Amino acid sequence: MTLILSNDDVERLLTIEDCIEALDEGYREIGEGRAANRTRSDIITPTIHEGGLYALKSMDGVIPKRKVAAIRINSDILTWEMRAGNRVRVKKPAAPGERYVGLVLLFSTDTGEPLAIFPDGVMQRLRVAATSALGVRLLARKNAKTVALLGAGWQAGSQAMAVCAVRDIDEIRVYSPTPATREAFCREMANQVSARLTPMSSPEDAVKGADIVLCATNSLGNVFKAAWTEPGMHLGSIKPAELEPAAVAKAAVAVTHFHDNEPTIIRTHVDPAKEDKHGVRHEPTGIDESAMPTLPDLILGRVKGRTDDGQITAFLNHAGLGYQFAVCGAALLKKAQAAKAGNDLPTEWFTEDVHP
Amino acid sequence: MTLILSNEDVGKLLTMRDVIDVLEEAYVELADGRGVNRTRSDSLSPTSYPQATYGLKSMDGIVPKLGVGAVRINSDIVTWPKRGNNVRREKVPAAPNKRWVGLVLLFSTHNGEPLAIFPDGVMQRTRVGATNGLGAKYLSRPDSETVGILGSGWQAGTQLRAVCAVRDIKTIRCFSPSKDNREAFARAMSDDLGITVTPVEQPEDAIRGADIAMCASNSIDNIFFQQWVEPGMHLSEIKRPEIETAALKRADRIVIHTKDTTPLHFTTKDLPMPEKVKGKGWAEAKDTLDIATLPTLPELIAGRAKGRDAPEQVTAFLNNLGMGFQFAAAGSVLYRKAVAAGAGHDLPTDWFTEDVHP
Repeated sequence: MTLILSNDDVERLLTIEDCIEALDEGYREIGEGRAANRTRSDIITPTIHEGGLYALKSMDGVIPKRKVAAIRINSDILTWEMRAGNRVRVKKPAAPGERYVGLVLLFSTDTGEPLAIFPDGVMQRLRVAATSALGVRLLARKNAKTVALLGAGWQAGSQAMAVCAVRDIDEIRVYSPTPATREAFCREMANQVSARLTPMSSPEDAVKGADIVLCATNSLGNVFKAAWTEPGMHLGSIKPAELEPAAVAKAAVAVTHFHDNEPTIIRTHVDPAKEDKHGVRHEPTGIDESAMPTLPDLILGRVKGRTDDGQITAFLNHAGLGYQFAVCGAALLKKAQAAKAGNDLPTEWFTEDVHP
Repeated sequence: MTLILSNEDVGKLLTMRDVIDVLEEAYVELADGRGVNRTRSDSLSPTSYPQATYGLKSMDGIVPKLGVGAVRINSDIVTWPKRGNNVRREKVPAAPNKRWVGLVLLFSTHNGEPLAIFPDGVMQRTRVGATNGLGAKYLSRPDSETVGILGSGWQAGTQLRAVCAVRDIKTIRCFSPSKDNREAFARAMSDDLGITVTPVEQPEDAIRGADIAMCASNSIDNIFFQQWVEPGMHLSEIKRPEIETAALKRADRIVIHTKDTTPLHFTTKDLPMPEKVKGKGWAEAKDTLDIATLPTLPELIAGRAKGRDAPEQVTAFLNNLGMGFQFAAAGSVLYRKAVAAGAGHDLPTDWFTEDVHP
């Protein structure tokens, strides 16, 4: 049978701890050359939406140790909006019922058969946060108690859960520009993490005295300034522009997620008037991640992590891997099968007796 | 609703003529920069299946004019057995009930929604056939009536259907190494086409005097040689390097399918890759023919590349690598016909969409 799972199934079955442990193993495997990852590709064309573009995005990976391969596909209507003077890219939920379209397909490396199909949304943020958590586990001070969280959106929620899974956190101080948003976030997250959540009225107040600073925004500009760094701090970011380059330069140890991970972008000859300078690719940030060691290097002990409590450390988690969906997908599948979750469809619908 | 279609549905709904016509239209879009294609990628790893490699292969493309994007995915257990003197690349049907795994997902460029999911097998061979059919339509002599084909497998049948759709073919000769296979194939295709297909004992017997010489094997070695080339002949292959390079050097015009010479490979460390051994498969394609300098079929159809301009010229079409783009083009026709016919299983689109921002 081929399992069709929903985001609710994924949310209920797959914990942040599951993803952290699965990815810890997964990065060892890929660091040793025993796994494969295909860099993301985006193919982009016009759509009927005025001023918008259609993008078909895919990435994949294989973890032979867990006998699972995954491909993750997004079928997006992209639009651009002005927000606080910046033109930002916005995915439009244009599918019937105002929905987004992102899918993960899992396959068996033993038989090739399709094991499961599910929407990518919940796993997408879990794997981002679990990866950031591995950065925290290996780089932050062991006795870190206080977290500053810059951002109060979808990604920030899982970052909060993830950091609490790897350090004994007392307090998370949350800043985002809209008071109502950060207050609602603290209320909603209160029953999901053991740490106390405190909304803060400025980013400086949030980061002052924090042991760990986690940026979890969709900002195209810096949200953490070099002037705010303090000895012993660990910095984490999920978008290239979040950390001011001078802040990263202060880090004794700075680690990036993965190398050679620039998406391949293929597009039709788009009308130059519609061309967007910020939309499809990020502007150069001034941080050279290619010279940094990677998370697999760090996990495998090929590079040193923090060596004393006074050091500043940084983990830059800016580009995802299709491989993460294979790794977390294998963990999900085990639990889904045990729980008999989802809709079972006949595997024959997705296999064939005709040679492809 | 999202349509789940079967190979039987695809076979019933989608004709060779449909695919030839839609590809002809879509290739002009591609040549003019109004369509996009992503080069096939293969993510390869070990498998517990003995003497085999696991491959997750994907390719995608969009035809905005037709409102459809497609991703085609194969999840293969691949082996490389030696048959006679030739090494073959064989996919093992290792999924439950001895089945292969290949899927096409169609998406709407208007709202992103998943329109349909179906196995790739029938469309795969139809689009390969249609592509070589277009090669023959634009390069072979208009009065071509004799075809020699090397191969009697699952691609050979659609190659013949395609060439018969674009030329008034009267005589077909077929060679493949196994007598039983070629005879069974000749019988089946004679019925299918209403044209006598004659099995022959040597490849030369199939090719001698043919106006169109077609290779449709799964060999990763040469099977067509230069001494067989005759004036006015059109040569056709479905994968590199069926036609040896020396034979291609005798052609006045060579047109390829795409300038992407090989798939992108993403592999675990130290994975054996028989196709990358010098002189075989992809390695051959890379080593001895500078494919990137040759004009493509989309350019030829869009009138940007020269075709045949004399009957005695030798022409060649190399279907060097498939495109995900073909599945978007053929998929758009299939989807339209499937909706009109009420075919397949309708699943709730909500199963494949989400209210969570991905």
